Amino acid sequence: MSLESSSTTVSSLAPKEPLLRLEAVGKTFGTHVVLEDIDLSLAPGEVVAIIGPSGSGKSTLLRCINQLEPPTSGRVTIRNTAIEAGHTPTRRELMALRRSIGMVFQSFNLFPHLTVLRNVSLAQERVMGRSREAADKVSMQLLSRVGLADKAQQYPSRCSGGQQQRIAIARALALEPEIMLFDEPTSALDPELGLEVLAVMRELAEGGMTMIVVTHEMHFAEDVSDRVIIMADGKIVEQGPSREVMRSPRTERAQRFLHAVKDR
Amino acid sequence: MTQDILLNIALGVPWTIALTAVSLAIGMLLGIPLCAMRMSKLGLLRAIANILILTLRAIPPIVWLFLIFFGLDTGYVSFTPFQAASIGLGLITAANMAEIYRGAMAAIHPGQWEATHALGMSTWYRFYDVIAPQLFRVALPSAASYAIGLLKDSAIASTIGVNEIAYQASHVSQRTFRGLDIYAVAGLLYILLSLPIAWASRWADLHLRSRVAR
Amino acid sequence: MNDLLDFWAEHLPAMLDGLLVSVQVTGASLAIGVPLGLVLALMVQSKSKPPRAIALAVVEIGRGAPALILLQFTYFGLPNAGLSLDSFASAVIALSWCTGAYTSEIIRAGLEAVPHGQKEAAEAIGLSHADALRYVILPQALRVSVPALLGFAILMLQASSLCFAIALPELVSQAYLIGSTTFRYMPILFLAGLLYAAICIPATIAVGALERKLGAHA
Repeated sequence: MSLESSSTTVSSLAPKEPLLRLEAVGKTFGTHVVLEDIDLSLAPGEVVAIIGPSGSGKSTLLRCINQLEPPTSGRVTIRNTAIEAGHTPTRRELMALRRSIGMVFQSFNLFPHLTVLRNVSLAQERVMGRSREAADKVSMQLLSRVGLADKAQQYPSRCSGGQQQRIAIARALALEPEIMLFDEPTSALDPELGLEVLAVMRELAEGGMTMIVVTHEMHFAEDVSDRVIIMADGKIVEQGPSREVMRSPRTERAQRFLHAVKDR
Repeated sequence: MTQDILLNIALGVPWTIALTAVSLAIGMLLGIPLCAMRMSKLGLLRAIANILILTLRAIPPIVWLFLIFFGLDTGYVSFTPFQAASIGLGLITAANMAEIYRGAMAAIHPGQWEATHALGMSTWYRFYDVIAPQLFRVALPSAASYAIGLLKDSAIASTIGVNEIAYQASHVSQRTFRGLDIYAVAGLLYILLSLPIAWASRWADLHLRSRVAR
Repeated sequence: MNDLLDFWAEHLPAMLDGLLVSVQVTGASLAIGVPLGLVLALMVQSKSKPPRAIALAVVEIGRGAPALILLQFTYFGLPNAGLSLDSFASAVIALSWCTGAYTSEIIRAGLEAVPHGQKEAAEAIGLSHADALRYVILPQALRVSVPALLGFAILMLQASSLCFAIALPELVSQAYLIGSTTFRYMPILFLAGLLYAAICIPATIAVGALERKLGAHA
């Protein structure tokens, strides 16, 4: 092995600087402990699926990342900015954080009184300061990318659930985030409509987007994500490369959950 | 019924409409800060708003009108009947509107708030672009219903001398002693005036129903 | 301050007399009006046209016309038709009409809130239409309607203040009388407001609490 080829191999093996890091993150509501001692790191371009039974704290974990729910303990670091629990981030910190993290919700949460185009453009204008023309141009590109350019002038109520969710993805992408968070994006959809959304998400992943997806879609978890995290009772019970975890889970808790979900 | 008498009563119509409109405007505007106080994180502001709203709604409108017109009538400040009535009814409307706004806020899907937070929108734009437009649509039926009630309450202003329908009816009745016809016509006028509001509300509700996330 | 309290103490008996009249006229109107409202609610749903038309007319006028006009119509207008009543009787008739109209809507909403399956179940076990209404539907409908009816009762007490215009010696009339003879309108009207608030505010809070409690069982 020549010096040059070995150094190339070494450098490509060197771990990339994590984009996101959670250290000992916890969330308690009064006396109710929802999240406990969560350690997690996310490399650029990584796609992580979080699965687990209801009430395991998956959604709360996602919300702790973009401070929709401020954690009650631990530290969340995005690139080089760390936010400690208990320390309220300044408005500027919060705005910067939310611009670099996009979120897609289970209930889509599109703005019903605005057209689809306006839904995607609004935040670009208000948050990024883009002009209306520039924002609309970007919006149309994104809508084409998710296959819904023809719906631009419609209102969300006239779109199917799958279409609304794809528009929601476009809306989140419009702010050019570094990380995309998905909170059970297909749980509110018919299986057929869910497929179109999963297709968009797969395409995003293959394009190199850094994603965390909370989902019940086991196929997606196994095929599209790089890593799978299984949560139960507010803790991470197992994590590892997706195929490994999904096919041969090591912990008993993980085995129980996967058995219940897969062998129906 | 002679045309003369009918015309006399009808002279009150512009005053009724004006009083209702002005009171409604005052109330809908003042209701916003009052509602904001009512939903404030500061316990003291919430308590003050609560007391104001409860008191305004617990005391009959006629007492408020008398208080403002007769009670506040000192050498320094003196209101015309119309001003006193507008202020009194306006304040009561503000209290009721604050409650209507509060109910409407609760009816908006929490996901709307979450989406604006996740997108990093500032508080001002959150309200201006997303929440307020939906709030208006949700509150419309209750507000229209209240407006019709206000139209009828405007009759109370006749007791402090505003020349609206009830006042005109009362004076014509005293002159001609034909109370039965006169008050029947007056009642009918109020009912007729409330119809446009009810229709507009129904039309708006039909068209705007889908524009709100519940 | 002492002067104010003396003033209030001096006129309190007269004010309380007025308050008593207010409460009496409200009570009488509710006692007649609420059952009337129930009757109207049932008539409005009647299958035959005449009862439905009459009930609709009574309700639309009772709700559409201002309470003040109804009062003036009864007191100043009915004598034209040969029926001369004193102010208390006129007030009760007018306010009962108003009450009946509004409560018919409240009760109708309560009736609609009862799940359709209840009626079907009652029929299935062989109850007659009247019995089904009496033992199954109405108790549930009224339970839903109670908070709204109580809220309306509070509004009726406030509406009794309008009887000032038909010379009933209720609370506002007393206050106005004292004010116009002593020229101290502010203090006496303030006392009137205080008396209304003393009843209506606790009542409103209580009804709110009841509403929340009933909602828990729904």
